Amino acid sequence: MNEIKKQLLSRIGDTSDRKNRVILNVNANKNPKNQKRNKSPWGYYVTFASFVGIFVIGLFLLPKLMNEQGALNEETPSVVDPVTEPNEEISYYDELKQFFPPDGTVATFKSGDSYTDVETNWLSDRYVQEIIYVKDCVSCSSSSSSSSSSSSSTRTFSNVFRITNEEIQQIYYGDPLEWTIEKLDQRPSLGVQLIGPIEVGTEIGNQKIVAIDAELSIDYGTFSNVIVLEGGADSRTYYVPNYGIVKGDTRGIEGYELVSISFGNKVTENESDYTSLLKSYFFPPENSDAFYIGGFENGGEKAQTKWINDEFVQEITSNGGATIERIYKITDNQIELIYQEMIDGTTPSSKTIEQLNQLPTLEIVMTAPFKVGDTIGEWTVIDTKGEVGTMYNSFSDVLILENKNEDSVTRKYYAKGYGKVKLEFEFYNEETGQYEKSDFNTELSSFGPIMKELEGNIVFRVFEADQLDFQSGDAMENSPKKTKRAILHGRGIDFEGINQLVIENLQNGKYTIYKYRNEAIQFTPKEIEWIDENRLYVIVGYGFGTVTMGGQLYELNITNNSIKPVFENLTEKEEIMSVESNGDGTFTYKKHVYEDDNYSVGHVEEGIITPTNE
Amino acid sequence: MNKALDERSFSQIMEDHTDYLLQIAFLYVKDWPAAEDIVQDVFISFYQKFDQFEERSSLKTYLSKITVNKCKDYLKSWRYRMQVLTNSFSVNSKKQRNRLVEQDEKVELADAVLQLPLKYREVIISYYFEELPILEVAIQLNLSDNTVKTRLRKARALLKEELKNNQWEVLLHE
Repeated sequence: MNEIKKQLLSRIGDTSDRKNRVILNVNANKNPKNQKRNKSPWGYYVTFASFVGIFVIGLFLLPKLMNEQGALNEETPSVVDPVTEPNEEISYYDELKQFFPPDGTVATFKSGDSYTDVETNWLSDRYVQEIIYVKDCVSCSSSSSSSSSSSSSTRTFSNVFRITNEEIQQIYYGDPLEWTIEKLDQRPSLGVQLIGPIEVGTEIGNQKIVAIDAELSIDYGTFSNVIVLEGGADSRTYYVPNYGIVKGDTRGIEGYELVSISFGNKVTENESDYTSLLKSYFFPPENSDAFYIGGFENGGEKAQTKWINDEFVQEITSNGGATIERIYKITDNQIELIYQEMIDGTTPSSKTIEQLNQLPTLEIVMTAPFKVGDTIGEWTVIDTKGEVGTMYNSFSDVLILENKNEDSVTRKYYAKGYGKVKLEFEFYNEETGQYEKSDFNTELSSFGPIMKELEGNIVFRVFEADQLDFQSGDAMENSPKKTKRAILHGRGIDFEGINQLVIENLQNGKYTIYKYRNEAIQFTPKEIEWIDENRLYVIVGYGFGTVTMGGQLYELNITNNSIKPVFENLTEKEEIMSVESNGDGTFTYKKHVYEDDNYSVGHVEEGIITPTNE
Repeated sequence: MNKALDERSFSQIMEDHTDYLLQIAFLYVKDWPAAEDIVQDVFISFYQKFDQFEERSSLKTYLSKITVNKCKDYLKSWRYRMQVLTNSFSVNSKKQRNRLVEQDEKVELADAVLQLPLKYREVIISYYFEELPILEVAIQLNLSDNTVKTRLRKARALLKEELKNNQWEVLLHE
């Protein structure tokens, strides 16, 4: 959000009371006969009512609170003050250990014209060794890979640290040595580097933590969770969790800062089996359907994966109107895209293995082995042990690829055994100078074997989910016996866009999601009315740029997912606006009929329908 | 009752759009009772003249445009002038009292926007608050797109002048 809008919104404040007042006034005045321009007393009733409400709540709540307070007070003397009691449980270890990067990381720092590589080795959970390679030449590259080079202009020494529950101690400084845990355990502390808790005000000798969520921009990048340590002689040290020190400043001395870092966490120990590693990250093991929510105008995305054989995978993705077929070839150590075509309205290709073998490589998707920092085409590996939550599930050991340029950042998340589970897209906002989240993100919402297309007149495609991320603006209606609940989900508060129809089974908490199948024409379920526990009427109509409530009326049976139109012969000028139960097994519908070809003059007809017997 | 709009959808429309329209109306008229009256008016006329609504634009755009027009009518009206005379004192004293609170919230940019003359304020509201593209601003305000750009530039210059002590990044872009 731009700064002007943000400030204006905070200036405007909450409008919900005013909104209620406006709505009441409109309802009281909208019909011409009792139209009165001036304020109706409704607004005051509302204010009065909410005042009474608050008063009543206060009346009930206060004594209760006071009672509890009383109870606490009575108990207090019997409890030993926990603050004065020495508490051995408190450990800052988890916080403190973040101030070293993972094992094997090589970070390069620049100070004036010289570069220093720092390799971090975890000797155990408690001991960390830094091996420092000081390169004295200007032309030495800042490359982080050649840490082991022993050129004559490089001086090497090491630091060893101990992480206790309370602090980080330096226990050794000098030439790199071979250590055993016993030897390390015997080393006295030479000095304290950091003390927990990591919060503003913690003092470490003559240093003090002055900020914990500071922002810092250095050549390497911008960090937003920087811990700043300030000491005598105007010295400042900047720590970033999982990176360690990224910058140091001392008055009168050349400062240093991080210019590159290479995290050393290799993905696999068994480097010979790259093929299965690649397969596991990029494709589900069996033929499957994956559904993703979100995307452009909430259109979602579907990806169907079919293994042609052990070497070729066909993937058919459809979103917001386009269906694309891709075929990938998996070699010993890479995944190649070899075929990519739109298949709108046509059937997917059926090529023989021989034909596939002759197709040229269009793009190299991934090469193994990979580690953080590797680039493949426009993509960079930014994490191999990531964690990500989606509507379908949470995943760990996630491979994250990022494509960052001046206009946007795209991130793809791959989870073993599933393939892509999430896509994030951020665009650069010139006004704020920052990358901002877009609405185009997609995440896995459903996953399973390829589904058989529904029989009959298919309108929706169906998938299951264990949870639903409710949005304001979701409309819901319980079935007559309240065993199920129908939810129109996702359209948001703008009253435009695409809804999913979701049936929540109130007995087992499972969700069944129905999405209109033909995304190209952006139709959406708009109205629902239950017929009985297993059937409901659904009105489906165009989702954008109009306030016409109408659409085609369908009867949906959720036991077998069959769906049929109620009116077979509705013309383009006729739309069903609403359908409501009369309580006697019959339903009254309202149909809007346009009378002219410009769709500007119309009238509403009413009629009664009776659902067919099961 | 109107033929083409049933009660339920009308309630839904009010539910969905009232907050937003109130916000816009307030930014124009800077007076809450007046903003409420205006939005109330917008919905009443929308309800009564629903069949005139052309479906070419989205409902949100359509309602915003009616709101903006009604706000401008109001600002030209006699009632507004009376209001300004009677309110100016109370507004100032309130400002004094809130200053301490507001310093924390950083709304000086917003305050400066609200102080802009209408013709500059309106382009800022449409462009930054409603986040409309220049062309849509032009349509909403019945101006040419070049006029919109000129006024935006001038408005930003005025804001920069007003906020000399504090450089807001949002104003640096031309």
